[in-house]
Amino acid sequence: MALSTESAPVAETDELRSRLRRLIEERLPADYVGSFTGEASAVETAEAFCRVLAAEQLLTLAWPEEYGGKAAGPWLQTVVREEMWSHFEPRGAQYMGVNWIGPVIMRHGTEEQKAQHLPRISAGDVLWCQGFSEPEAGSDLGSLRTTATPVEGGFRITGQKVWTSYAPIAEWCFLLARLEGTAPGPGRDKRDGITVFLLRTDTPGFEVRPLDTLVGALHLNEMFFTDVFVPAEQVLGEVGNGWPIIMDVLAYERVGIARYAKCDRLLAEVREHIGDRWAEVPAGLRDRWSRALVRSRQARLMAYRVVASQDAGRVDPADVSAYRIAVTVLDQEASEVLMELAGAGVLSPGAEGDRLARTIEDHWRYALAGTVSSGTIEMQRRSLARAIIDSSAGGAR
Amino acid sequence: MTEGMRVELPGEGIEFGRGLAAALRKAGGVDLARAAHRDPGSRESVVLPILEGSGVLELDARDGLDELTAIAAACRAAGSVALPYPLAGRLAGALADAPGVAVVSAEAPAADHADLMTGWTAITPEGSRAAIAGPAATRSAVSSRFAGGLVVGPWSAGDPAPAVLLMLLQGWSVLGSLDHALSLTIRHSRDRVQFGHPISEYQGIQFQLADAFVELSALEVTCEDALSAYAANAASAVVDVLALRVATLEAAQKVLGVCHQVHGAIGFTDEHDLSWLTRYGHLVRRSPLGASGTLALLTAEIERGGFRSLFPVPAYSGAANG
Repeated sequence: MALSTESAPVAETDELRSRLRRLIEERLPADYVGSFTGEASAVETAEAFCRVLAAEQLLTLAWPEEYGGKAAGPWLQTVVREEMWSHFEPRGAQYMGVNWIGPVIMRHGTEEQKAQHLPRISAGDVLWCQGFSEPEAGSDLGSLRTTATPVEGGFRITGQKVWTSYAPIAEWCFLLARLEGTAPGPGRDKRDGITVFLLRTDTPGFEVRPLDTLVGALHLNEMFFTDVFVPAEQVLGEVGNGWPIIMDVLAYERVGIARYAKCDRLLAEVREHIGDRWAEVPAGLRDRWSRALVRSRQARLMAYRVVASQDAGRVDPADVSAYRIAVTVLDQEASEVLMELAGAGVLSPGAEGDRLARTIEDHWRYALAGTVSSGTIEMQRRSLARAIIDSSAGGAR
Repeated sequence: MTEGMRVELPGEGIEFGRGLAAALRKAGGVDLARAAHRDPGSRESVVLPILEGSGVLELDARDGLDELTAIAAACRAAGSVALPYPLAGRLAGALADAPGVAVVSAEAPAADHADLMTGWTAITPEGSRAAIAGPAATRSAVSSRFAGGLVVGPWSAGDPAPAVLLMLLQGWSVLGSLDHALSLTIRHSRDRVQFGHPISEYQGIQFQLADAFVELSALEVTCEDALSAYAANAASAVVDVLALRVATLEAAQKVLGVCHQVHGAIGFTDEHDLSWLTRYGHLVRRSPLGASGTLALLTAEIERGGFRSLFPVPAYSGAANG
């Protein structure tokens, strides 16, 4: 049992949290519900807010000092994740650049690549998208088929990606493709041949097709590559050996989204908003609301267990998967409770009630995808089960 | 302004619990429960001396976080072997100036080991208390020989603190039981071969184990959090302990459900420890209130006093009137 851990630097985390909430209150419109609304103003809001964070040196807090960061540890990073997610991720698409694209370029990139990309990511003025999933390669990422054919000076890429967020507005794509002739087959590890390309999205032969979806505009897109030329110097890491980079990406995304933070915020906000009409809410629904508060607290505490172990340099993969399962299930359960409260006829009839109803509905739609995106809940359950079955100790600790 | 981030419990207290767990395993582990079922006198002739020898009965929950942690960890150890003795009630007794306490509903007071509680104090979650005159002559729960009704004296109003502490310790005790039950289940899934493979290789089993582990982990962090909240301010921790109890009851149902399902018929036999963990974890899940009643109590408490969170839930002023 791993009870005793490094304690969080409470004063430091509190100070950062206050500072972020102040910035959010002053610089983010109250009706902001993320950049998936399909309104250009939402994307502009996110871009403007990122520049504010960059100016305050808060955008790349976790980056090493040599790249303009503050080398913030896991606890401060957690505060940033919580405050951003609870306010519908006002960094928009930037969170990808800051959280993992920048860090993997630092680790695997050439000096030229670092010089080209890191200053722009840290200034908050470049958008990236992630070219991973394909029609036949979702959870089974190693089965991807998009092909890179070596040609003079670089590669020609042909294939298709899907479910790519932000593709229509991204300037760069972090793209996975496999070398020609390395298609999975008998006696060959399907991870061999996979290569990471840093591709400009205005390259001829690159095409984006947005998908109309339940979860919102910009969220899901298709990307098509027809003989797209990428210069050799835009390969990240070793040609044909990109899999370790993918593993690094997953490690940077380890704790993932602080979904509990938005649940906490909305569960409290809806209660405050309803005010004295709370007594009109059916008792059964009030009970489900309090249960959701408990579940949200539990998910948060499970996240903190992972963060504490990160801080101490020994992460248990079972804890990570357990947290991710708990938090996505929470998100869906809490969003159902919130939707029911929003539909109980007790929100105020004015603009404020409309804003809250819209916020809640947005949360509900996004939570639907929580058990699918960034690794399905089935994959999490599978890796968790393997970890606990393989561990000779068994049980919780 | 909002939440401190990580609960940190003193390692010494946790170590104390590990020591007691080792001593209980050495004395037979779950066999102590089997023996008590055959010979109820062994609870006082065999189990009690082990507890006395460990020093746990001298700990006082009012003496700060170190002792409280040791007490909670000891209850976890007791739960892990379905210890046939009301240890948590005994340890919470000091808060009521009584040899022990049982947390009960006034309508149907009941406890495990009711026959050992004569002279103890019965307390409701709200703090009403009554002297325990002895075990009721009512029918015991079928699943546990020792779960039974209590004959109590007249009720009077009082401080709920002993009941809150006892519910906190019961959470830790159930945590110990579920942890052990899931360990047994994971081991069984590796050993049990059907259709030519250990059943742990089947995804239908794996997913159940994963979900049970998630529940157990969630309960463990909630136990730590409630303990820390209680140590910081016992009076305001009522809501945290009720939240823990909601989590405890939900986890018990889910984890034990998975454990029995994965074990199949063998898990119901008394030669298997799982049967005893279920038997002796039964009454605490129903009394003083079951899952629905506890949740309603939690809702009322949140409405009365608010709830700690990243975005704290304020108290509901209308609650006083409604």
